[in-house]
Amino acid sequence: MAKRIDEQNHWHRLDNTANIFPVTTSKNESNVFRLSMTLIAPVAPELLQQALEMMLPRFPGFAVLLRRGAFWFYLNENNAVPTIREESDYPCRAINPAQNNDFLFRVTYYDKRINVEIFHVLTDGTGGVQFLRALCCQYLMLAYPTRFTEEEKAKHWYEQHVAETNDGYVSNYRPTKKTSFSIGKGYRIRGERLLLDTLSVVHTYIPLQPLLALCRGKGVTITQYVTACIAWGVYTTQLRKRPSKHPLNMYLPINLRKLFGTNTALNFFSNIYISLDMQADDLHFNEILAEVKKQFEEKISRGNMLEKISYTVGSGYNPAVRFVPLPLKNLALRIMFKQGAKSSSLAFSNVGDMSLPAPFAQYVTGASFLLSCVPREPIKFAACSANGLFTLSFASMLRSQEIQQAIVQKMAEDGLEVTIETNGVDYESV
Amino acid sequence: MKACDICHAQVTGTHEFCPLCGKRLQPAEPYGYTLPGNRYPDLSRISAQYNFMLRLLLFLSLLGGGVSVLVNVLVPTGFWWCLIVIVAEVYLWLTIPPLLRRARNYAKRLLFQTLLTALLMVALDFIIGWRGWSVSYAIPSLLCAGIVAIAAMIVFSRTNWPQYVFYQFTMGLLGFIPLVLYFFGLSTSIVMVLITAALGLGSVLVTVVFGDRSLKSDFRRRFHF
Repeated sequence: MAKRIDEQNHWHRLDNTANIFPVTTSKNESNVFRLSMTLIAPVAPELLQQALEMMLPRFPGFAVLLRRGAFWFYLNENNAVPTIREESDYPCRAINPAQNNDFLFRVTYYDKRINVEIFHVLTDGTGGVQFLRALCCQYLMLAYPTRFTEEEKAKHWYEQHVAETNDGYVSNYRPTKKTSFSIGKGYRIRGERLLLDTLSVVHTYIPLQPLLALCRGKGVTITQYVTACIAWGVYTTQLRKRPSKHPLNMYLPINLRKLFGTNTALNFFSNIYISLDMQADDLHFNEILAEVKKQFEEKISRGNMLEKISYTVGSGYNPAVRFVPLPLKNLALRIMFKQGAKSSSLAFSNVGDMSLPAPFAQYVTGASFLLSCVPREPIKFAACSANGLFTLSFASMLRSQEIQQAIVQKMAEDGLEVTIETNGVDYESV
Repeated sequence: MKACDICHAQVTGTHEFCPLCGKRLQPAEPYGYTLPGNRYPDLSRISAQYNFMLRLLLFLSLLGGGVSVLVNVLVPTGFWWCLIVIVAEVYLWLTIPPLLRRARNYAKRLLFQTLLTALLMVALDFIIGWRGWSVSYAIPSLLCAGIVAIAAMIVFSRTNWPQYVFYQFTMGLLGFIPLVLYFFGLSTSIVMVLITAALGLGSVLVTVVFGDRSLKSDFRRRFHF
């Protein structure tokens, strides 16, 4: 008997956050993030392709294409094969599904580095890290077949279960009375732009242990410390020279998986804004750090996050929203998003530890995480760590590197051994 | 390893000047932790995509439209023939670009082209003095051709049928449009109306009877709310 279409062709709804991404994405606003792993030896393309084909079936949430329904977008199973390419463009460029068999992610390599660039519709940073880890483990097993035991090779390192394509937002939804989460307009970082699509990338490497010790000494977490350093960098280079009545609003995505004990392969994050009023011209770093810490502790709580996600899920349940045809819904979303985007001055995301498990860790020298810039937020900050090395990466559309410089200077001043590396778009080339 | 005295950081790679502040780097003892050693492709020569042909065609069609309006105004004939030029240009710009893109679903494309061509016919009929040939003959003929074409596509590539079934069903429903037009007195040829409606009914029945669950699940995914 012929196989039924139901069994052949799975589909799932977009998670609650993902609904915004297809609507707001354009050439200038790619909503793509990049996760990279640097190995000890140059990448062999044919093995990487083979590894991708082997591990993709274990990630049903990635083997999909985006379709339009009458009322909502949805993700349909994609049975084609994605192809890897050598990196030949700036990081985090918009994903054109037509160029890669309709897939919404891109796997590229350059020299010793494997990059996975993911359209945010699929998943968030945490979901992306699992995918990159699975790909790297599979690749390493193919590249060094004699170095792993049969047991290790037979094991499925990282996988997604179909059940994990459940929407964590919806399953944790509780009706709420709160009606709005909008905050005022935020300070806008300004500066002369780089040409066209050029993106400047600067990685700063810091050994993890001394950084941890420093933060413990100050009684803060790494994320809080780095957030304060970023605020300090913007304050000393921009706000002190050009005071603004708008506060510096730093957008930080917050992973909700631990907070809610939900393990989903889709997006499951919310956000907080660390909002700093920086009109004074004699602020000290420690004052900023104390304020950042205070806001972190106030804002990241299960209750706060629950209210936030319940508000967005609840508005999706509203019949006045639900039964509006997709094109009209998109129009409304776009307008709302444009308004909301004005609150944010910059974004900083720390995806945490990206290390591979024990048998594979020795083949990795580092990892990095990059966010795409948008004209409204011309510089974005992303951090991760692997094998005892903390990496803070700056992606910037600005010609001047003053903010990056101020942050590096501040961290070096605190006694950290900072090493920087760039993608070549810097003082020498521009 | 090299270091910058101003930024207090070491710099990897082949830099001679600090990438952050531009000052000359000084030699330094490496910090002693392992670095990933990332390299990036040299993209300084990459140029933004610039589609000259597309821009030329756009310019020519705007020019053509503008000139025909001008001539039509300057040499009055009592007939707005420049509208035909403009409608034809709009039609071409709407239909040709999707045709050049890689097809995801031919049935969807066919449905889109049929509807657009129907609109073109109505517009032309209207411009050259409404005689109703578009609704009486052109639209029914187009719909018949569309229904038959989708049926033929399904016969020749049966494996793709699950993707096409939704469009076959929709096209079948559109087959009843001439009937509706007839009741409103817009369409005059009962023969054309009946042929189209019969083909449409056949198309809908085939999808409902043979498509059963595949049609249902396709509807569920397209109309989920």
